[in-house]
Amino acid sequence: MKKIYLLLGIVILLSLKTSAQSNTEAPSKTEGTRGDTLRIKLTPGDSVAKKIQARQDSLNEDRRQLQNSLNTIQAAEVNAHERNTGTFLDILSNYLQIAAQNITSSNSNLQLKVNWFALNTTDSAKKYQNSYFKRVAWQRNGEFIIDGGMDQTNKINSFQLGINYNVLNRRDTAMRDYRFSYIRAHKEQGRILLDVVNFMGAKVGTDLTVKLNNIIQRLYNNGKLVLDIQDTIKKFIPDLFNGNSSDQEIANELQIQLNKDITNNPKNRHTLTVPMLAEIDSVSDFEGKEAIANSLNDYFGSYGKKQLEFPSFISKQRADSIVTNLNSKVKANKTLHDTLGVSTMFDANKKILANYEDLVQYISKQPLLTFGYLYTYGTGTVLSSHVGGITYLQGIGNFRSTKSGQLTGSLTDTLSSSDLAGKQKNFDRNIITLQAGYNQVLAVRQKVSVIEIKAALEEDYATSSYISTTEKSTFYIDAYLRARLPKTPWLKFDFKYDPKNGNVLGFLNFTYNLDKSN
Amino acid sequence: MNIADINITDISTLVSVILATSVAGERLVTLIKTFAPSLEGPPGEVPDGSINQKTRKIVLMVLSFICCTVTAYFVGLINYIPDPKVPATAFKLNFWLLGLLATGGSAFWTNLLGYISAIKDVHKQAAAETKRKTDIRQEALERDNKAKLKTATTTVGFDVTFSGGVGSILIQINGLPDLNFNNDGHQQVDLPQGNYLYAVSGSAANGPGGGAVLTISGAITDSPQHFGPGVIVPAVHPLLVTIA
Repeated sequence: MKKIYLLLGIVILLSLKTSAQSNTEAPSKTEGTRGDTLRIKLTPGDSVAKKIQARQDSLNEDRRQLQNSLNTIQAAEVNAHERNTGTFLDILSNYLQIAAQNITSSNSNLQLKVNWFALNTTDSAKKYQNSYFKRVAWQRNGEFIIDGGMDQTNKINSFQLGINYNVLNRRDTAMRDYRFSYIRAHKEQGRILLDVVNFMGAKVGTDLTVKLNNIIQRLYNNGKLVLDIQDTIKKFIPDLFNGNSSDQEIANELQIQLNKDITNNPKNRHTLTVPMLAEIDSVSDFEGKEAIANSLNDYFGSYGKKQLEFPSFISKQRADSIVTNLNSKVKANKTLHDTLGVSTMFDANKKILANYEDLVQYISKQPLLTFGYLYTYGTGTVLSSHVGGITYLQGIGNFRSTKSGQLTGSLTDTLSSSDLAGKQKNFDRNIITLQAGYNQVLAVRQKVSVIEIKAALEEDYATSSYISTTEKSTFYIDAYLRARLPKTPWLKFDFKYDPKNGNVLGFLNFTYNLDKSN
Repeated sequence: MNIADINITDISTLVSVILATSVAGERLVTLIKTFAPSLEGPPGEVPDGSINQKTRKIVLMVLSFICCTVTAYFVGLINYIPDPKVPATAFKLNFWLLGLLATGGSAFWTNLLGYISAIKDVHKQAAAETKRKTDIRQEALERDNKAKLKTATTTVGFDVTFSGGVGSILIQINGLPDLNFNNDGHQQVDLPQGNYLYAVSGSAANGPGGGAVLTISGAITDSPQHFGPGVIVPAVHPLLVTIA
């Protein structure tokens, strides 16, 4: 029954968190929805100029909505926070940790660890803006602990409050500069892309000029003011305007000049005016370059998850030429080919990402040293206590390996009552505990640790008021095995073996770590 | 019609017609004189002041007027102001008036035509000079406009904001120094009218809330651009600068 309450408590907390997230995310999802139809109600008294303005306002609103939806498409490529091991998160939570501990024991408890930064009530948008975020980054090194315990009769028998703080600020991957891993290569890639898109874009632009000239000549001959030139052009060149935020402004450049020419030249419309031809040239050049750039950006930005597809108005011959041009320039580039060891732009991006991730891994293996304090108010067999401690964690092994190893060490001092019956509430018993261990990630899934095992040696030493029925000093061999699926709670088994007396203690813990991105 | 509206070419045309009428009229008088010898004869044989001589002159003058008027009649009612903007009824010479003018004699009208032609030449030269000066001014104006367009620039602003930790953004524009952003900031470049390309790359913080936003003002381009956490893969975008 007690376990059901514990699990129920976890479920309620999780649902509260989920509810809070969905409340904050809902508006952005709504913003991202593009309006399906555009309706303009025209009355007989409206002037053409008003109609054009109404259409324009409506299109601008549509564009704004489209932009919002595009903004949400950007996907996170690297989120180092999610790659922390369970052992690390037991020492310092990223955001929030809920744990049901000692579920199978006579005294079990439900613990909540909240990162100091998570308690910062500043509006989420402002909280992560660097102007504010960097000022409060120190909060990310601290966490608060609150805990409630129950006995076998489901009676609350203990209450805990505590704090942990990381004094070595060396493994916060968000606060490190990674330019070393990409800056030189990015400069070369940028130059190559600019050269190729500029050269090939001009050719595609010339092709487009002929098509646009024909379309606009027809509109000009027709002599009616144009309300939405983008729609008209799309009928002839369907994938010319493909949802970029600049589309409407570019179309406006053509539309304004065309309507001006139609108004100014009521009779002589045999040939397009010089300013109109210049406008078409400029727009064709822009769209030609944008078409190539968008295709390449989508392909490289998704690391090949999206196919490299060019719009239909770019011939296959030109498309092939673009790719050939890019790769031949990469091959001829010393930094990319000789230093980075790649021959294509695609491989260059993959290699740079790998180098970046290596650096992130390296930083996430840096040492962590926390100081902590935990006060327990206990009743019955749970002794009230003051616990102070230092915990150290250091990643070891090849930093490129995702199945990493970690050395851990801790020194704690527990001051509690010597009366195991819990009748006396004095704090006369002091135990110093020293533990040294090694944690190994056994399996990873989606680059996230899912199975870990930890072995440790522990020595407990009572410095005062030791109990006559127990040893003054006790040596334990500890083992911890934890497993989960990505983004699911950890199930953790703790074993404590006393080799001298042959005693084995076992605990079952259930831990769920929530991150801001969960 | 105002006389000031008649240009020198119109006057020249009018004088030419009068001269032609006059010559034709004189030929007709000469023809009649062959049939009336009394009207002929060397003027020197008859004293100038004699009655016969005066009568002969008056008769010849009347005869000349009649001949010129008859000739003018055949020319008809002519609108001598060929400017289409002027109404057809605005300036017409009746045949009798044309005949009267033609009576003045071809010698007079020949001299007058020569005089008008000289004026026309002077006008032509003045007009050519004026045109030459106008052309020079126009060329200078066009050169000036082109130069102004070349030197006229628009300030294009690049604003970058980072979130969730440390990030960096590199912006490359062909022919210009690179723009580097390692913190939130604003940088700007002055660009002449035209199409440009720029490349964006870098990284945004890799923790929760990590990201970057690039906003570009003063030109037509894809803006704002949002980047998620991690590496920002180099991407190219066009940028259109127009001069307002």
